[in-house]
Amino acid sequence: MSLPKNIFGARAAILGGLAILTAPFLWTRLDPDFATGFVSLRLVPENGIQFLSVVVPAALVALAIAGLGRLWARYGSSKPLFETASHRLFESPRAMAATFAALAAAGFVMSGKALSLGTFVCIHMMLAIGLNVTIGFTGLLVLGYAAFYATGAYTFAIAAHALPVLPTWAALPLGFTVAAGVGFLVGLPCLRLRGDYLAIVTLGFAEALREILRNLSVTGGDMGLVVPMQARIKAIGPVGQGHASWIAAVGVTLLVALFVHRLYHSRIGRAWIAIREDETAAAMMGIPVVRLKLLAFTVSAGLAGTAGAFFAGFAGFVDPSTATFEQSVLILAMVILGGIGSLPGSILGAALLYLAPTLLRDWFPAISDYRLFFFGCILVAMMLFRPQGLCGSPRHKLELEGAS
Amino acid sequence: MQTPPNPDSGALLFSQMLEILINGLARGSVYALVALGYTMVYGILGMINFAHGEIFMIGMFAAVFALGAMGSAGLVAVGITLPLAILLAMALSAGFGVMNERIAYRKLRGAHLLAPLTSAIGMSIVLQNFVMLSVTKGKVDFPRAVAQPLANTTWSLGPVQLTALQAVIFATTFALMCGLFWLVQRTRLGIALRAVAQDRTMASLCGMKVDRLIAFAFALGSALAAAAGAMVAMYQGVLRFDSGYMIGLKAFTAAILGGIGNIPGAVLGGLIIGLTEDLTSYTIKSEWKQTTAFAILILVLWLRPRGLLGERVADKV
Repeated sequence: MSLPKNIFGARAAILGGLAILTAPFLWTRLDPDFATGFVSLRLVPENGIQFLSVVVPAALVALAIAGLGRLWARYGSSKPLFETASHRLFESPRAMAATFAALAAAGFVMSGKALSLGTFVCIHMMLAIGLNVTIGFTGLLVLGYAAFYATGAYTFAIAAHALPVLPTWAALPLGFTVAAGVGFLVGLPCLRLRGDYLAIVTLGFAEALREILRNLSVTGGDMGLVVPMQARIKAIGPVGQGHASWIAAVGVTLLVALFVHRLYHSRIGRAWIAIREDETAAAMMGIPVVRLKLLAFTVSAGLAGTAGAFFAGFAGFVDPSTATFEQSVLILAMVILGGIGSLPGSILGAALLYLAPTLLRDWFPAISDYRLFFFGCILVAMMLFRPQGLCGSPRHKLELEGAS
Repeated sequence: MQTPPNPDSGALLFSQMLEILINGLARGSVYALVALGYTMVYGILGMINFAHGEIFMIGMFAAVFALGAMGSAGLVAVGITLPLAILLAMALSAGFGVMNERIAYRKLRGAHLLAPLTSAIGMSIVLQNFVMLSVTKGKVDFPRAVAQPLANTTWSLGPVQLTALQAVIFATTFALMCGLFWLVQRTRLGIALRAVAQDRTMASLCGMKVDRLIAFAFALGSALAAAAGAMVAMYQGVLRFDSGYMIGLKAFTAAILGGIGNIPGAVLGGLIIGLTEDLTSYTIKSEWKQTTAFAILILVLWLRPRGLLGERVADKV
């Protein structure tokens, strides 16, 4: 244990260093002189004041939430608040089915805007659950997850153009199969290696895929593709299009969640956990490590493809922006915030991180530019202070902190 | 008599090949400088410093800021301002690199692989968006009066032209790399760095200040990236808050290609990636250069997972 004075000194040094390093960016402005081609620097306080006026209150709010969490842990319950609530709602298949049925029924009192927002939340829940299979269960980091989402979306859009009789429900198996196949091929060369190679290779794959999608004519270039009317989610009888999509989204999310839940509690799931905890020991016990890692990655890619195909059927268009790094990071942040390796965590993280920025944008339109900045801060802060996420298990905390 | 170039022949002329070679090497030497930072941090900590591309971008901006500050002070002689601006950019980026390590990585040393990598991604997003929010969303022009005289001075080397700007890039890169090799191989500091890379606990038992040495490695890598950033800013003429992302990715590819953790490997990998890109732009289409770089990465991981110069090391248990 170091003395409190030392801790304070270190913090002061960090803050002071930050203030010096960021000074040129915050307090000055570049004035290019187009006539001479030189540039000059001017002191402009507004710039920095505007930045700090958003960041400082946000930091205070974050500190307040952290403080409340600490109070809850000390005086409230032995279990964290989020963990208790979300585990109760999503722990067992029966609880999940009840929760999702309640959500589907709630759709009948929701407005059209809320329904479409809810459908997008469900799509992101599928993505977070799918990514959790590789990151959380098997301990492999995937940075270009959105590439598989885009694969599913484009697969369905192209197939719907090629086959006019394609029914809407075909989106799910089609998206799953093709994205899983692509995932298999991408994972094959790098899963024999250390985990971080997969991270970079998938990132490179996402960049390359975006380039391919933008350059080929079959994918519609920068404009993307419009999904033909007959393949989109339609109104069924008295149920309108918005409600139909919402119910379908909730249903598919439940299916995905149940599938992953069963997988997690099967032999395969236990093998994945063993691999995450100690790869060498798992191999010693006779677990085919490479094959199971490949399986996890393939399933994960396939689930992203399902979500992507559902998105194509719901939104009616696809474009290369589905494969951006921003999208991948958003999904990653959902898994990490909710709790690496926890199914309720992924569901909760997806809901929080999709709803919060959207609602914030409606309430405080001025700070929507700061969204990604705060995502970055959340990623770093979670890793430093609460590596197990909002509702992860203490076991994950031990692993992430390297308790050996 | 010179034969006119025949576009239908499909074969590249000798002079064209030399041009591709020079452009590719200029691009590749920049990648190599950035790749050195990745490889040094990986060699010492075994982690991917994902925010390194952003440090490169900070270097780009810092160079323009330094030129601006000197411009405001009335200093406009390019011969003085340019080297000074590169040095200042290196210093500021080194500060960012050290701060980055202190805040986001130090606490996570020895944790599971996922933790520092996630933290590094977060840091990369923070840095990128910080520059976007505090400077501009759009592009910033590198002062034309500084870059133009260098870009317009050309020397003919046989059939090809070499601009003074390319010569500056080659000379700076070469000097910096020689300096780094000398530092790592010949000085006490370099020996200490290598000792920390080999066995952190043992090095600290022998009395080396491990925290300081790691911070020094970050400062060194960041300074090299900033020098590369200043030169790319000059070469391209424009910079944006997201300029570092792609270069970071390519430099990382280069580091893997050469064998991550291996310093000569990073240089070799950088040159190969640079050459491939220019070759793709000339022979196929520049829109496909990312895809070729990715194809090469996959191919190398498939055929030689430890990279071109990397040795096969058993995983530590």
